[in-house]
Parts: sequence; structure tokens; C-alpha cells
Amino acid sequence: MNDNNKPSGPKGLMAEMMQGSAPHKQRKTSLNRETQVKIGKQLEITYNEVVSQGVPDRFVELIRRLEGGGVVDVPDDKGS
Amino acid sequence: MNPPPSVSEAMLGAVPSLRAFAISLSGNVDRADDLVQETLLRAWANLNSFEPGTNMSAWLFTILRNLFRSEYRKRRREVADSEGTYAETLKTQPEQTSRVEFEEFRTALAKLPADQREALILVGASGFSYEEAAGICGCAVGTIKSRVNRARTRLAELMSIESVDDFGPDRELKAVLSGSGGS
Repeated sequence: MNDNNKPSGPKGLMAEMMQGSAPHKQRKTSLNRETQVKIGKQLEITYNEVVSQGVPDRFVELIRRLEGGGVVDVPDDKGS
Repeated sequence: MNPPPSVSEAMLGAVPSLRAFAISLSGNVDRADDLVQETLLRAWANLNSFEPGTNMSAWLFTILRNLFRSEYRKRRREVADSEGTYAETLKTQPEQTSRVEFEEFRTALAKLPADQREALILVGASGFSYEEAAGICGCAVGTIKSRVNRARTRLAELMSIESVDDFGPDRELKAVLSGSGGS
């Protein structure tokens, strides 16, 4: 009459295993989510730091010269 | 033949985000600015291949990326400085986050493989769709998605590992410093 143990034994073990791993998994996920939000924020800050510097003069001048059809010295490819 | 003013304005308008992208690729402000300049020159010379009505910004990003890739192959040997120089670019301390957190992030970002970092920046910061990013990088949408996912996972790992590292030795050091009792 150990019939009772049969289902409850493995089931208990199963439950224990699941309980054992579930909170662990959950903690990991929420940590990740927190980190993901952090990553998104940091990414934005890092990127916007540069974007907020606007358009440096050299590029405005470059475009104006191109518009004027002027010759633009390309620093590249000249050997040097 | 000169392009309409709207074209040059669109090109100028794209400069700030082109710079941000170029810095994230090259890790160096001067090289990034040279890349942007080269991009604008190429774009200007090839304006006839730009289809009006399509995304000018994505077109410029594509040119910049291709330039960087071909240059990168040439200069592979001297590409090691992405950390210090990036710090230089970002002298202003962001207010909203702690210094440690910011440093931690930058260090982790610099450790990502180039193609993952690129995908993450395009989608996560430049605001391109996965489809646009795939167009810019010349690869499949699925490839971009998996690169972004791997980048996020790797960053998360690096950042949590680093914060653990931060605590360990630091705590010990503090304990030593304070525990040894003033000299």
C-alpha cells in the first residue's frame, strides 16, 4: 500500500524541481529586463551626446563649397 | 547641375547622427569626422544614384558604412583605441545616470563584435527599422535581428559581470583601507 507514495513521490520531486528553478529563472529574467532598460537608456545617452553637438562648421562649409561648385580639397588619396 | 537646396539641407540634417554612427564604428572622433566628410563628398558626386523620395539618411549611412568597412580592412592593424578616444568624445557627464554605470556601459559596448555593435546602434539608437538597418548593412533582416539580440545579451552579461567585479575587489579594498585603522 505504498500506492500513495507512487504518484506523490515523483510529483513532489517535480514540484520541488520546478519550484527550485522557477524563482531562479524569474529572478534572472527580471534582472535582464532591468539591464535591458539600462542598456537602452545608456545607448540613447551615448548617441545623443554626439547628436546634440549639432553640425560642426566644417560640414556646413563643405556643403556650401560643393553648392558653389568649388573645388574641395579632399585630404585623402593625395599620397602625402 | 546643382541639386535642389532641399538635398543639401537633408545632407546637413543627417550630419549629427552620421557622426554619432561614425564614432561608434571607429571609436575616434577625428576619424569619424573624416569619414563623414568623405561620405558627403561621395554622396554629392553620386547624387544621381539617389532616388528622390527615399530615405536620404539611410542612403548616407550606407555610404558611410561601406567607406568604413573598406578603410577598416586596410587599417586593421591600428584599430585598437576604441576605448580612450570614445571617452574623450563624451567629456560631458550625463546627468541622469551614475558615472560608474556610464563607464561600465561604454566599456561593454566597445567589447562587442563590430557587426553586433553596428546593428545595435542602427536599430537601438539611430532609430532605423530592422528592414532599413538590413539595407544599410547589406544583409538579411533576420541577420540584423539576431545581431541585435546577441548584442543585447552580450551587453547584459558584460554589464552584470562588471558590476560584480566592481564590488568584489572594491569592497575588499575598502575593508583593507578602513579596517587597517588610520595608518
